[in-house]
Amino acid sequence: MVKRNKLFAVAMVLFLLVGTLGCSSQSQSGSGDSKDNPKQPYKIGLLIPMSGDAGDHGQIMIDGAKIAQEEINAAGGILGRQVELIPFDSAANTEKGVTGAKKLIEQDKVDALVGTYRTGVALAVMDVAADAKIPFLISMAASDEIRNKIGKDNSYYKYVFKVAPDVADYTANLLPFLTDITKAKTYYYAAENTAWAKQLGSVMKKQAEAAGIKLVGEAYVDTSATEFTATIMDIKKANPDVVVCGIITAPGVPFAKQYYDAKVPVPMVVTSGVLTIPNTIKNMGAQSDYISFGLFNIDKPITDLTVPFWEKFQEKYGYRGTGFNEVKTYDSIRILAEAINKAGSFDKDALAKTLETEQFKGLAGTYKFDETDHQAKWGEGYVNGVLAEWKDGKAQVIWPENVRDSALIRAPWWK
Amino acid sequence: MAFIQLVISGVLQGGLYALIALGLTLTLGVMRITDLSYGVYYTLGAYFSFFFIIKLGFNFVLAGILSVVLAFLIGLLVERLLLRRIISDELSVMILTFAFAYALEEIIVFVWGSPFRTLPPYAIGTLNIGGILLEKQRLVSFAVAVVLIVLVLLFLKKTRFGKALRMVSQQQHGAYLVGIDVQLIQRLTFAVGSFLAASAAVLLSPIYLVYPAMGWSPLLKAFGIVILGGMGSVKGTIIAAFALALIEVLSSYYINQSLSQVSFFVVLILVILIRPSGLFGNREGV
Repeated sequence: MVKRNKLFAVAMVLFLLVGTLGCSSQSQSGSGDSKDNPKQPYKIGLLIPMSGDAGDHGQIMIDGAKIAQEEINAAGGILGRQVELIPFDSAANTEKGVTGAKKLIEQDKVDALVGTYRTGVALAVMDVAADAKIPFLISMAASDEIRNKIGKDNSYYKYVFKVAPDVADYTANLLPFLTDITKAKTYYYAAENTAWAKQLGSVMKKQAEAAGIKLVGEAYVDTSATEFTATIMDIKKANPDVVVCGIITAPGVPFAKQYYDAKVPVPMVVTSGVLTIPNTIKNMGAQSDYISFGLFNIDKPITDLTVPFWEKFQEKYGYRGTGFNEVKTYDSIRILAEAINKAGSFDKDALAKTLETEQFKGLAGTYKFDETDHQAKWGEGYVNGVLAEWKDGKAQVIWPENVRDSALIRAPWWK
Repeated sequence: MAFIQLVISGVLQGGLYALIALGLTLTLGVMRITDLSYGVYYTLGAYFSFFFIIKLGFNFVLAGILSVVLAFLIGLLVERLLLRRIISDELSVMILTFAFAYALEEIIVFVWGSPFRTLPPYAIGTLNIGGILLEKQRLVSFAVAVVLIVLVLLFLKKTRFGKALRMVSQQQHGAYLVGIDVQLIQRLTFAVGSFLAASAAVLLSPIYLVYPAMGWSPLLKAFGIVILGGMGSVKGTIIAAFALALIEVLSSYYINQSLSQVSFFVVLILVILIRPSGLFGNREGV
């Protein structure tokens, strides 16, 4: 019995160790009050996933944030105060996100929050930030629910702004692939069986129909699927002009490989996720060729900040980011700094007013927030994305025309 | 034609599922333990392959052999250092193997980082036989998996060790009485299980994505297959693996693509309700 209890204790210790590793806060500073004193740093709490199924994204966000921090500090800081980053691993989990937000606000005394990867986390952390009257720039979570929630009670969420694109922005980013590049009349939507992919599919359908493009088939595959013969046969049977792929997690790779091997005679464009990450593509060989995808940023002169950022990122970290995680985190921190500098004070009401009324330059374009729901506006003149295509392991920009590397490279077997 | 294409795809997938589940059924049959860390040997096999092929530039065959040998050795160590002391306590084994799997996953993140990885394909393209498409990569993986399964079956039937293993599986006390070193058989069986899980990963990682949590899904599928086939029955496991793959592929096409996993578990629940010991459980041991 004693022996069994000992073993049970060892198992519990291991569990706790794993839990601790998963949710540890990785503060880069000591704690203490942060005031309007120029000697005190301006503390920004970063709520990002560094473990769990989205753990891959957290480090990329930190890497983007650090470049923003260095640039702001080198330029004299925010009204003379140096920026300090305090990351917390939310593990893309709502409970951990709320715990992290409270810890950052109450213990680390941060001046502002940036981050949250999933909508559920953002929706919960919004309330924590609103209660504490802490500015919160949502950099990653994209669902419409966030803007709707802000729009319904804009005075309560006065300090909450959404830098991340909306669901409609994701699909608007893809639409030129159908309308301009391939001149498609029909499309097929192959996606994961998740709420996010379904929401994306529904918005895509509305936008495509408005452009005269018809949905001729759709498939929602399991998130643990590894075999896609049925999906590919269904695509061939539907005979669309384009396949829009919303399989954004692990099954995306076997799907893309099978799609390539089966020589499906139709171009495919991917909404986001695993097939847009250079690290994933690196060793896929020819099987990644001809996959097009939407990106929110790339090393092209979209604004005068963009190319220097990408050069710095590559030189400093030796890899290419996702065009989303590092970009939106960088832009959020820059927007925060620029808004305070423009407001001329650390007063939160002045900051909120400036964020509502002014425009801010970022890597992805010009940010202008909607005055009611605080969503960053999308489209020409504001924030915009790009479309690219993988060829020989390199992302070739195919849209918009002013920054493109080449026209769409056609696979020999496409119709 | 569509039906034949689907059946062939299902059979190819079934061979790989059988290889994944075979190690688990041996462990269950011989050691009578529920090993929740089984999926982590699959993950290790994929990461070892990645390391040998991408980082050290080894060819597939050498990288594959080294990866499965390493997994075998780790299996030996885990059995000796962790499981041996608590093997008779089923609850402790479950908790320990579960915690071990999580700890090892964190170690993998520490060593290789969390980014997604891919491996280059070892065969690209398809064979077109009378309109039926056969992906070369899955065909090669299937062939190697079948060879490995046949070798395991021959090993169990023809060698003295295999016979001893079967005896331990069928009648452990009897095995003790006739002088079989049961502990040694159990240790080697556990290591062979690790070897088979890693073998499946070596064959599948050029097709799938490599990432730290990749072992949990195969673990779940392997358990489903083993339960459907009958705990510890090799024959049942192989039949159930092909059944799972065929159910997935056919239900995807003819019912709904998002119901492929649900279909299998519905069948599993029905089989358990009608025959709680699975299709071939309690008949013959390993």
